[in-house]
Amino acid sequence: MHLCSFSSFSLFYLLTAIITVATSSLTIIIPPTSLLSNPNALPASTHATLTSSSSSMQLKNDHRSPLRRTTSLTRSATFVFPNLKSTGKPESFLLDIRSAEYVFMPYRIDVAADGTVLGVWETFRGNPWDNRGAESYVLDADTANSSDVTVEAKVLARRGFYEERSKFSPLTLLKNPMILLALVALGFTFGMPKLMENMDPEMRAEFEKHSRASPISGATRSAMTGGGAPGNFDFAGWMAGAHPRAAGSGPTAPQGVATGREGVSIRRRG
Amino acid sequence: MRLQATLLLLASCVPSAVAIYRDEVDHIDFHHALLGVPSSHSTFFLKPSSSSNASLLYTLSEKSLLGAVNPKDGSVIWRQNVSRSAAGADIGILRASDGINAMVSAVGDYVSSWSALDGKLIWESWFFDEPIADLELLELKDAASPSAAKDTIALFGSKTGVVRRLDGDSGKVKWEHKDESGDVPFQVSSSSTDVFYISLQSALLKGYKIKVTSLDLLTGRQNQQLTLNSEGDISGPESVLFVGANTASPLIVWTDKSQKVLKVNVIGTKQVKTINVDNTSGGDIQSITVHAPKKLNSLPHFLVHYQTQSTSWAEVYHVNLQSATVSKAYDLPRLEGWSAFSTSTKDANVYFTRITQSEMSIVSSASHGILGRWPLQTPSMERALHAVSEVVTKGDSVAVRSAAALESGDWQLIRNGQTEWTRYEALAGALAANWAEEEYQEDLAHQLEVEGHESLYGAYAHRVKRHVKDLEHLPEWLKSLPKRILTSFVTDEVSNLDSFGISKPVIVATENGRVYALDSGKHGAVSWGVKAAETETWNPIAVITQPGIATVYADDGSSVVLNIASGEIIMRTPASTKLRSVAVLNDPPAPLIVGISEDGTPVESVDRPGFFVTLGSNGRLLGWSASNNKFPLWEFLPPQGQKIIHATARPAHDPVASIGKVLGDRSVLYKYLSPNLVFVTAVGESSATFFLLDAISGGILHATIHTGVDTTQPIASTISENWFAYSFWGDVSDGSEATGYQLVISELYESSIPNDRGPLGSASNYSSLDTLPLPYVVSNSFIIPEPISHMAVTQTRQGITTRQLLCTLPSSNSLVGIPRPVLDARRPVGRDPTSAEVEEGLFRYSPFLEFDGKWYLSHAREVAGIKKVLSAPTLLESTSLIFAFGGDIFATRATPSQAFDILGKGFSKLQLLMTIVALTVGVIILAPMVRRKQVDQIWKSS
Repeated sequence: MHLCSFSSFSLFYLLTAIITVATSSLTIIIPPTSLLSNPNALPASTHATLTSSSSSMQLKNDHRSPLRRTTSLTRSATFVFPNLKSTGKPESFLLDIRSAEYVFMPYRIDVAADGTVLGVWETFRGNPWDNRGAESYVLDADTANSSDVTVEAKVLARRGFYEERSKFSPLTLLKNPMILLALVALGFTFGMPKLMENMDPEMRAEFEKHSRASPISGATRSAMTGGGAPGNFDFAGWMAGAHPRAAGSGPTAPQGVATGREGVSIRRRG
Repeated sequence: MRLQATLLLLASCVPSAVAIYRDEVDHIDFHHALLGVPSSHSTFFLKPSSSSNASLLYTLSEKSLLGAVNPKDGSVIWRQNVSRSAAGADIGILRASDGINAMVSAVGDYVSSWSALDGKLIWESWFFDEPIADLELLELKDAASPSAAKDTIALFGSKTGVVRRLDGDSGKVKWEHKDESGDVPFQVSSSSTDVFYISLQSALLKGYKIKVTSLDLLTGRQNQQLTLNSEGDISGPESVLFVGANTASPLIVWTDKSQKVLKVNVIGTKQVKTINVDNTSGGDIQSITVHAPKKLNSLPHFLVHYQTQSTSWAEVYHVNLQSATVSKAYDLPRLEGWSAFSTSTKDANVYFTRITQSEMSIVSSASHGILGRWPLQTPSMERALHAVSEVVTKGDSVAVRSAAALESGDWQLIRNGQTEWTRYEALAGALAANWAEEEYQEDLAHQLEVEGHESLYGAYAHRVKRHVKDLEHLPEWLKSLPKRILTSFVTDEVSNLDSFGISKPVIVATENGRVYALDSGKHGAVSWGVKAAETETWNPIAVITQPGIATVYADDGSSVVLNIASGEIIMRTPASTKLRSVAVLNDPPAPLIVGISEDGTPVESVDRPGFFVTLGSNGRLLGWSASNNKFPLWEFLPPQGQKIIHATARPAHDPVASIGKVLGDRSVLYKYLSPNLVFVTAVGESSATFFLLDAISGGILHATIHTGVDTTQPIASTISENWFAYSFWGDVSDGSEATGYQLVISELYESSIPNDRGPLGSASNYSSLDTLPLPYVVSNSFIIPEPISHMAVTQTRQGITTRQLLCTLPSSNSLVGIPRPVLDARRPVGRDPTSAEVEEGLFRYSPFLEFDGKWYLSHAREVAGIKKVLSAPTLLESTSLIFAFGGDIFATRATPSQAFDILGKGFSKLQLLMTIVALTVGVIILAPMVRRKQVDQIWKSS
């Protein structure tokens, strides 16, 4: 007798199970996005979890509820919760989609006492539970019976696990100011004498006159040619700003140029 | 602007590069993705795709892990944990069919179908209170759609049998047949027209009759029923040796009680053929196993394997399906020792592979001629329990590969006698582990100790002598020098770090009585594995290592001492009292181990200063003095309705680099540092209370209570230095709160006022027994996206390096190391940090803490089933060793403040060398030019 009632109960349960499967299943689709172009490439360990504290309260007297909470990724890159349990009172679930590499939006799912889904909203971690985000689904009063709920999951970010190692490239080497300085100096060392040789004699004479007039370029030139300061250069006088040669076509102009150049370089340094 | 400043600060506070580099993967870490010991009935080779000839190795292990293994290299392609049954599930069943990308597994009351190629779910179903008894795929010769998913015939129930036909694509029930007779549901078998439901009907006096009910394939209606008179032979389901799945082997095989006669029935007929067992070996038959093909179009031939203590042989039989008769074809010779047989099919032909201690051979089911015989290249010391094989024929030659499950829990692929790979599946049951210390270091340490204790002159002489003695290694060293220099340009690591204690071997004790040594220098390769327990299984609770030796303590009070280098068992102590754990008194001269019994009492009292805190039998915490194991010094009882689930203390090695925290204004907040802190977790109906106790007096230093806690979800906690952390699932009491997993961090300070050391001041001595000053506690809690099942803290040699909170994330199968600066309890809440706080490295608090991908120590690896994480310091301050076990085995090196004391891979020796060479060349070219110029100059100027 007892056995008989037991089996009839399980039959009844099975029947209700079949009915509820048809009425309240929740399907979550992962659409292809720019972050995740091929959802089918997600690893098989990706899964979705429905959690509610009241369902765990249930745990003590009914072991069925926690089972309904986790489901794996299917071949069509969806998650299916075929039978949202009906505990006899409305429930509010947190839906998490878990994958090591991708971060998914969490959802809040409200389920009525009979197991129909009332609504699906985005939710924000660390915010009040009532602070609901964009609505993905809400039960329409007219079509209350056909409640095969389908919502789309949203990929928020992709985790970068690795640190990028800075690679050796000649370009970065060239960007180094020290290298640049050295290269310029090298250019002067080799380029200047060549340039001077190629100049015609008149031009060279004029250039030499000019460079003698401008103490800075004279000093640079003498430094570059490797020798010490030329004997006729009054360094102390130059430092003091005195003009060694009063005679000349335009004593102030070259100096102006020199100071101007200095100013430019100062500005650049700043 | 402000945002920019915050971001900049964030970047400056958090060490940006804590993640590992892509080229360090497999170099600083290793991972064994394990499945568990493969079960004998649910392991097979299978071609998952009809278009390709490649086959994979599938198993549903004893740990209820379903996985696909690449037979070429033994790597796991995918795996799923199918232990989702509500009832306690024992062994599962896995069935699949060649050329079809779908497999059906059942564990307990959970039936699921998976894609064989990539492990994605096809359908899943729960049948509450009806555990699965048997499962077969309906193999129909369906010409229209040969690769369509096949329907499943499943038999449920422990008392009442229910046969169901489940749709192959959706898992929906097509029909069901209920057996109300009260027979024991046993097996199902199918033919092209019928489904046979085989149950055991209890006979009048004792024993069982085999009842075969044939059901209509399409409707499930009962066609006919017949009963076989077997009550004299069968005393339970375990007495029936074999029931075939389909018409390839439509058989029920059993023996009489004395194992003298084999009885064979062709399913659907009433005749029982009796075969005398030809046992001339003299020994008792230990086991009789029937091996038969499963593929529908194969010849109905089967093999019976007899095993005695010392010998094994087999007989091959042919079934005539028309006349339903069974005839013996030939014998396979009796050989000494064990044999493992396996069946494989190729078209209609059936082949039997035999693996013995020394060789593997293959015969066709049609004739007794040996088609191929290969001696085993590396004969295994372990016995093969069962094997699966795949045979390839090309003309007259055959090739075979067999995956054999050994008694040790290893899974080995042998191809034509050669071992291709070995998977140490027993490691999935690792219960205790520790790093081992090599002996040679001990020798040097001893020498140094001698020098330290001698007089100045004596020590000097000793040292000179030691160095002179070291000179004998000089020629070798000189010889190896060129090679070392050359190879150092090629190797990954700039310098060999082995001498810094980076690659220590790990000793792992597993639940099947084995102890393994993993060589962390060689990607965790097993250097040895021995059977340490004298029983089949044991429960090791601790592995304690000393230089050269490792001691494994089991919960029955026994212990085994092993040599670390060879795995040789040096000493055993017999079982005494049942232990819960062991405590280590870690002071000189040698560490002393004291067992703690089940009720929390130390087993022995020792004459040493020291104290224990143990978890008592009735949910209370006990404090003991080491010298008195009769009466506890104090007892701690949680409030009514709560019970203590966890207690933890600061790690044994927990150096503190600085006793205070320097604030932005150069004042100091002193840390509350007590070596005697115990952190206790107690749970109630829906609340969790966390107590901080003083271990000497048992006094409460701090307590917090959280309500709305789901106590069925994992609650993890840890304590280190002057802070503790815990995590739990917190739910809403009303809608204005946040719901989710929470991580709480609390820091302890001596006083809330900077530069104040509280009532104790800088006193060098204090007593726990006087009224202790309470710590000033600062807490912050974060919402985290995932549950944390276990927590640990990285340990370094001096404690100068920033610590990381190591968290096991079971739901994404990862191990994450959260940097402590992120988890600072003093992060300003609701405002931007002041400039002084910025200087301290604090940044604005945000309630949600998303785990950054760079914190994932396991990076893209799926580290599943981790139960425990260990951390150990190395000789390098920057580096901490991490070893995680329990399911998978994962080990890595963490550098929470970056590897500041070693030259990493980023340091290119080649580049340095090239620069030097380039500069030298430049100098050589320029020097004569400059010299000439100078000479010219002198000539010109004079």
